[in-house]
Amino acid sequence: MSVRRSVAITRNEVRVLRRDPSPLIFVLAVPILVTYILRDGIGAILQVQGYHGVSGADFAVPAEAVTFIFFIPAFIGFSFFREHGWATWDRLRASSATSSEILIGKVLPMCILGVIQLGVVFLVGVGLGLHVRGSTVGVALVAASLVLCVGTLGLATIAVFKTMGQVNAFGNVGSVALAGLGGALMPLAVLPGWVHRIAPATPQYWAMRGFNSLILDGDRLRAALLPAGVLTAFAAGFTLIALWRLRFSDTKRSWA
Amino acid sequence: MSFDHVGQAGEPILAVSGLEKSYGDKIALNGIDVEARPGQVVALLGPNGAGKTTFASIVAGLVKPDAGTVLVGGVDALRHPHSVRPLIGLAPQTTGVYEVLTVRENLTFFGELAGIRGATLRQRIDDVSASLLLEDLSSRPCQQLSGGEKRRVHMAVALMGRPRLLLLDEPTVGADILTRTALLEVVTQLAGEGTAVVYSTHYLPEIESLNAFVVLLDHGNVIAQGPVQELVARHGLAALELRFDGPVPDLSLEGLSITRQGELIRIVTPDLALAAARVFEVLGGDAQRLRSLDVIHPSLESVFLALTGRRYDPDEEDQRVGPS
Ligand SMILES: Nc1ncnc2c1ncn2[C@@H]1O[C@H](COP(=O)(O)OP(=O)(O)OP(=O)(O)O)[C@@H](O)[C@H]1O
Ligand SMILES: [Mg+2]
Repeated sequence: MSVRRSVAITRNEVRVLRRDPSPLIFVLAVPILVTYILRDGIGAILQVQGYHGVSGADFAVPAEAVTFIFFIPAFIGFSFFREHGWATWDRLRASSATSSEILIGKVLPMCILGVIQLGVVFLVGVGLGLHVRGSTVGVALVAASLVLCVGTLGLATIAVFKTMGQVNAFGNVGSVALAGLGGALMPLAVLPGWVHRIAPATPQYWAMRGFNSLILDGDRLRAALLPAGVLTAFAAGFTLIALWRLRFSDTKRSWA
Repeated sequence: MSFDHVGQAGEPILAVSGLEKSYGDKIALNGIDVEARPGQVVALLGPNGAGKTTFASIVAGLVKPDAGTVLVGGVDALRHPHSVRPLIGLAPQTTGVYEVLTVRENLTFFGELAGIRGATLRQRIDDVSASLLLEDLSSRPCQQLSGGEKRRVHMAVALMGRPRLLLLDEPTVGADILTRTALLEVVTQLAGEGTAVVYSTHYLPEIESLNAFVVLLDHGNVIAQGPVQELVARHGLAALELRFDGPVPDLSLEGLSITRQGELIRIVTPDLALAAARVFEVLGGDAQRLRSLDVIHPSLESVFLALTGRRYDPDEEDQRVGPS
């Protein structure tokens, strides 16, 4: 393992992203914008649910952060599939970089992006009225396992899908659907019963369950353990899928 | 130490033996043996589908063979691909560069992957850029380059790690005279410095100008190998090809080797002038129906003809499947 080569790959990713930073702006700015729009409406819903003295931002900030962080697996997919479109993938494979150096070099910057996204959205969220009543360490723990989950879902994405179109559809449409089912678009309490039954199958549900209990209900660190554990289990599952299906020699189709 | 292109200096940097690869029923490589020594340009020559790309891909560790051994610098490349990677520079058939990055950024990245940095890296970029005429393009994004310019960047990337074995898969595809000349000059220069170059192409004249050691591939088999001149001297008889309107006349020319294919007569001969004179002597009234007369001089082309019985047609296998 050469850290230098992984760093070189990460630096190259950053150079490519700098040419078209719109995805980054998208995952950072849109959740803040949506929080701002929905804050009061969600505040009203929370009142009806019996929460008092809470702000709509207490739900909206984590909800939008969770919804939009799940666009990152698609970005990870693009970062790999693009190499196929440019025919640089074989050059990368033929270079001195090992498979794990390539994976780390490409996935790590996206995980860092996830950390930055959560950090920025939560910090700006404080300005919009977010107040963490419970354990801040717990919030950080759920956030960390969420990032792990998102990064490994990216790996599973490149392992399973064959075309950029598939990555795009799953990564964008799919993540909005899962956010809805997982209670990250609307509080689960206002959604129909069948959604409650399937919600736990989504990582979004566990992230929201953790954030809601720490932020809205003011629970202690203990309350973060189950959600963080389940998110980590999801990450393990995604890693297994990646180990099982990922072949560097597979041909993937870019947009062309 | 100095090297001539056909060069024999030193132990082989690449030693391939018994290499086999099939894709389904399709045999791409049928047990081939190839060696390349420091300073040697080995030209893999063959029509479409001959197996050139498959060969380069296996040596570069991108494709697994079904059988055979590949030694690079004496190390088993199939068992220890990562130990031999630093020795190999590959410029694949398909141009592969980061389109949105500048020429310099592309070279920087592949230089870093090859383990060079700082002043050494900058110097290396300057040297490689100079030899491939990229100096004025260095801050241009690759997507704004012409096909030939991009091809030069593509080759430059392969040179960044100062490979001891350079695999060039049809480097001059889509290149104009200027680019082609630059590429061939670089190859000659690198060979002079001791790099072993495996150069696949289906353009025969390039090989002649590189004075290479030729490996003639056809349908996954090595049908001949040796220095250009030696192959031409050994197999490269000249030939006359006469094409007629309608059926070919029944010429009887004692002592000449004649083949007939439809409207075509081919006469293989060491003495073109004499053969031509004799043909016209016996043609008589059929001369009116003569549509064309082709002379094939002793060259790699006539070597191919002599060994396969087919005219060399680079685009032979048009209906091939899969990437090439
Ligand atoms: N991935 C693949 N799947 C199936 N068949 C393949 C694949 N790659 C190559 N082949 C087949 O193997 C044979 C050799 O192909 P290869 O690309 O090595 O030829 P080549 O000499 O490089 O041809 P060209 O001059 O057209 O580049 C061809 O018949 C080709 O159709
Ligand atoms: Mg080829």
